[in-house]
Parts: sequence; structure tokens; C-alpha cells
Amino acid sequence: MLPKEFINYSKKFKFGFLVTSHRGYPLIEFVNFKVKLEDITINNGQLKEGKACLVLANERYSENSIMANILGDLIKDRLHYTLTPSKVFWTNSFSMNGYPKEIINRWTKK
Amino acid sequence: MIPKELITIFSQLRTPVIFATYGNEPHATPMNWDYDEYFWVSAAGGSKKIQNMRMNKKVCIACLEGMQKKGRGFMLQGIIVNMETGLLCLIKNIFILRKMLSNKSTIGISIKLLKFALIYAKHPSVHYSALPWKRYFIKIQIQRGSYWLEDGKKREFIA
Repeated sequence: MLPKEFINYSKKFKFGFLVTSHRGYPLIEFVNFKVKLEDITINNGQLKEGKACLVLANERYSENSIMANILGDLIKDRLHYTLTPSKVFWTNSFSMNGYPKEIINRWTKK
Repeated sequence: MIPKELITIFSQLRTPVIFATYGNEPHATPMNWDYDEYFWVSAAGGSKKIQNMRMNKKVCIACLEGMQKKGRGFMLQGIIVNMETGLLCLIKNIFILRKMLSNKSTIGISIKLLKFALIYAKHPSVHYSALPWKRYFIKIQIQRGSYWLEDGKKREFIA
């Protein structure tokens, strides 16, 4: 099951980068996707079934970057593919002045 | 040979690449990068991508200008020719790191980041791999790939 907050988060992205494997090389495909609580539907044509990783990202790096990484099993399901997630993580952008200070405060209380 | 048009794209794009590795399982994240005959990325030591690259030297790199489907971009397959870490490596590759941060991302180099490196170093629960001297510099030989310009037409090449 994916967290509900992740479903809202995923709406920020119009497409994703799906990583599978081909002849020992990782292979990236641009894919259209729809996130549901149970799984993720991928609407592209020819993909390889098995372990796959879907990456969602904006165009920024570091503090303004937002990205998600969903690892799971990719299965062909008639006209589309289904990615059943096993691990997911995502990040939010932060202010250079705000976010690190919060972390520092948390650390120093220990 | 890497096509000249692609080298021009390398010099102009400021969007992070999606960098994919595959060890026991696939992994990919956005990363900043540089190109100077070899393709360069830099990753935190101990990260999943480093674990994968130790198992499998084959990597895939994708980039879309502004993360927009209609943007210029490229998709490359390559092999790691060198992976180094440590303080000497950081010093040796500091100009590559500077180019990655100033040319290929919008943040540039900030003194504020150095302040946080010191805080990381002092705290026992921080993942050690976040430290700058634990960072790996990865040099990649591009083998084949495809790219597209404003017209959206896909062009393939073998290096």
C-alpha cells in the first residue's frame, strides 16, 4: 500500500522515468503513470517485466529539488503495466535558512 | 564518436540527469553532472547507487531539458571506467565538482553548504557518507545512446 500523502505528492509530476534492465544495462523509459493506493499503472508500450524503479523528479537540484523513487515489481496487465511497490521514498524542497536549522536543533537536543 | 550536436547539448543543458544503476535491483535518482570527453557524476559514498555500481559497471543516463517532455534531451548507456573517493580525490576533482554545481544546477557553490558539512562531521548519528570527502567521483565512458533536439526527432549513435 502506498501512503495517501504520496498520492497527492505524485500529482506534481506529469510523467516519470522507469528503470528496468536490458542485456545487463539499466534502461530508462519515459512513462505516463497513474498512482493508486495499491499499485501504479503505467501506460507505455513495450517494457520488460520484473524488478523496476519509477523516478519522479523536477528540474532542480539540491534544496529546490523534489523527487520520489518507487521500487517494485512490474507486471504486464493486458494493455498496460502494473508496478506493485515494495519501497517508496520521496523528498520535499527546503529553504536553505529554514530546513537545516530545524535539523540542527533536533540533533543538538539528543 | 560522440556527435557534435550532442556535445553542444551537453554544454547547454542545466537540468539534472536521471542516473540509473542496476545491481540486485534497479535504482535511479536525479544527479548533477559534467561532460569533458568522459561523463562525470558524483555520488555520496555508501548510497544505493554506489552499492549497485560496485556490482555492475553498466549505467544509464537520461536528461530532458527542464524535465519537460518536449525539451531537448539524451539517453545514454555507458560503462564506469573509474570510481574514486577520499580527501585526495575530492581535492583532485574539485574543479569538476565546481563545474557540476555551477554549470549544471541552479545552486552554485554556497558557503552555507560548507557550514553544514562541519555540522554533519560533528554529529554521531549522521550518515558518514554525506561528508564531502566520502563522496565518490564516477567517470563514465559513453558507449551508445540517443538524443533529440527541438524538433523532437530521435537520433541514435554508437560512440
